[in-house]
Amino acid sequence: MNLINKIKDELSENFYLLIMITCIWITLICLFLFIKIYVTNLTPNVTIVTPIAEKFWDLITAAVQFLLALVYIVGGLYVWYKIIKIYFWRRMKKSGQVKEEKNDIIIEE
Amino acid sequence: MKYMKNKGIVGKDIHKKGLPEIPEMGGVGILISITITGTIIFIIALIYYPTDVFTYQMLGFLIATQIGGGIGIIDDKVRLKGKVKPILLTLGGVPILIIQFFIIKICNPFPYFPLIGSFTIQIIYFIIVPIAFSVASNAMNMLDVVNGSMSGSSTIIFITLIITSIFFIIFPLKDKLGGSPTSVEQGLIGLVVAAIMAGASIILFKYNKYPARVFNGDVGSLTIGYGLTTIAILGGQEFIVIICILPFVINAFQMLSSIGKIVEGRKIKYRPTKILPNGLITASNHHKAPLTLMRILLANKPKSEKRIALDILLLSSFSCFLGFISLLLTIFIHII
Repeated sequence: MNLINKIKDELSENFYLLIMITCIWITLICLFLFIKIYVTNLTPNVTIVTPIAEKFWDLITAAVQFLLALVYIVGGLYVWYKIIKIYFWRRMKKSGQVKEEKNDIIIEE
Repeated sequence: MKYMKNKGIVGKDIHKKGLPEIPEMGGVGILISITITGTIIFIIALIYYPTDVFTYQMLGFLIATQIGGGIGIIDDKVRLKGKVKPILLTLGGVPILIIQFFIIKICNPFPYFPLIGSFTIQIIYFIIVPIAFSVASNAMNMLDVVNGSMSGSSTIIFITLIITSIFFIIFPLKDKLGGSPTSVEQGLIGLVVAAIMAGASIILFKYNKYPARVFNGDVGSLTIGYGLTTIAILGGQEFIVIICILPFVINAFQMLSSIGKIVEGRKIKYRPTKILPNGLITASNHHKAPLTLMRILLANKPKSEKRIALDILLLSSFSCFLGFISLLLTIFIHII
C-alpha cells in the first residue's frame, strides 16, 4: 500500500509533465504523418532528363525535403518549449518562488 | 573505485552537504564490459556466420562504442570545448557508413513510423546518422545531473528496447519499400545490443544510484548514448528510441533554446538550481538561468536529490511506455 501511495504521489505531482510528454509524442506522430504526405512526395518539375541531371535533382529534392522536415520538427519542439516555459513560470508563481535573489548567480570561469 | 581515488580521479558531489569527493569515470567499467561481451559475440558470429549481416552489425556497434567511450575518456581528462565535442561525437557514424557503403548493407534507410509505415528521405538518412550519434550522446550527457538519473533511466530504456526488439523478431514487418536488412535482422541486432547495454547499465546503476559510490563520467553517458543510437539505426527503431529518450531530448532542447547557443555545461553563467541550507534543491528564479528538466521538476517545491532522481525515472518509464505503444502502432499498420 505504501508503494502504491508513493507512486500515486509521484504521478499526481508530475501529472502535467506526463500530459505534456504525451502531447509531444502525439505532435511528433502528426508531424511525421504531415512530412510523409506533404514533404516526401515533393517532386521537381524537371525538363532536362539525363542520368547526371536526374542525380542532381534527386539530391536537391532530398536536401529540400530534409530542410523542410527539420524546420517542421524543430518548429514543433519550439512551440512545446514555449508552452513548457509558460507552465514553469506559472508553477513558480503558484509556489511563491518567483522573488529574484542576487546571490543565486554563480559564475564559473 | 579505490584505484580512481588513489589516482585522484574524483569529482565533488555538489548536491550533498560537505561536497564529498566521489570516484569519477565509472563509465570505464561499462565500456570494458561492453567491449568484452561484444567481442566474444562478434568472434562467435565471425566463426559461424562470417558473411552474415549480423556479424558486420556487431562490428559496427563495437567500433562505434569504442569511439564514443574514447571521446568520453578524453573529455573527462581534458574537458573538450562546447563546440568541439558535438563535432567529434559525429565520428560514431563513420564506421557504420564505411561498412554500409563498402562492405555490406547493415542499416535500412527506411525507418518505421507508427500509423504511418515506412518512408525515406533518401541519401539524407545517411547524413543524419553521424548527427544522431552526436545528438543522442549529448542528450544523455546533459541529463546526468543527479545520482542515478542517467544510469537508472538508461536501464529502463534498454529493457524496453529488449522487448521491442523481440516484437520486431516475432512480428516481421513488411518492407513495403524493399531494402535490407529485414526487420527480423534488425530486431536481432537490436536485441543483442540492448541486452549487452542493459546488463552494463544495471551494474552502473547499482553503484551510481543515490547515494552514488561512483560517477558515470562523460565516458559512461557518451557510451550509453552511442549504444542507444546504434539500436536506433542498426535495429531500425529510430522513432521508438526517440520516444524512449523523450525526457532527455526535452531537457537538451529546453536547455539549448533557453541559452541560445552550444556551451560547455560548466561555463553556464546562471545555474538552473541552487541548494538550500537544509540540503534540499530548489529551482533558480533567475530569468536567464537555463530551463532544464531538473529545474522544471523543481517548479512546484524544493526536493531532495533522491526525489528528483525518482521523478526523472518516472518520466523515463512513462516515455518507454509511449515507446512501446509506438511499437504496437507500427506493427498494427503493417498487419492491416
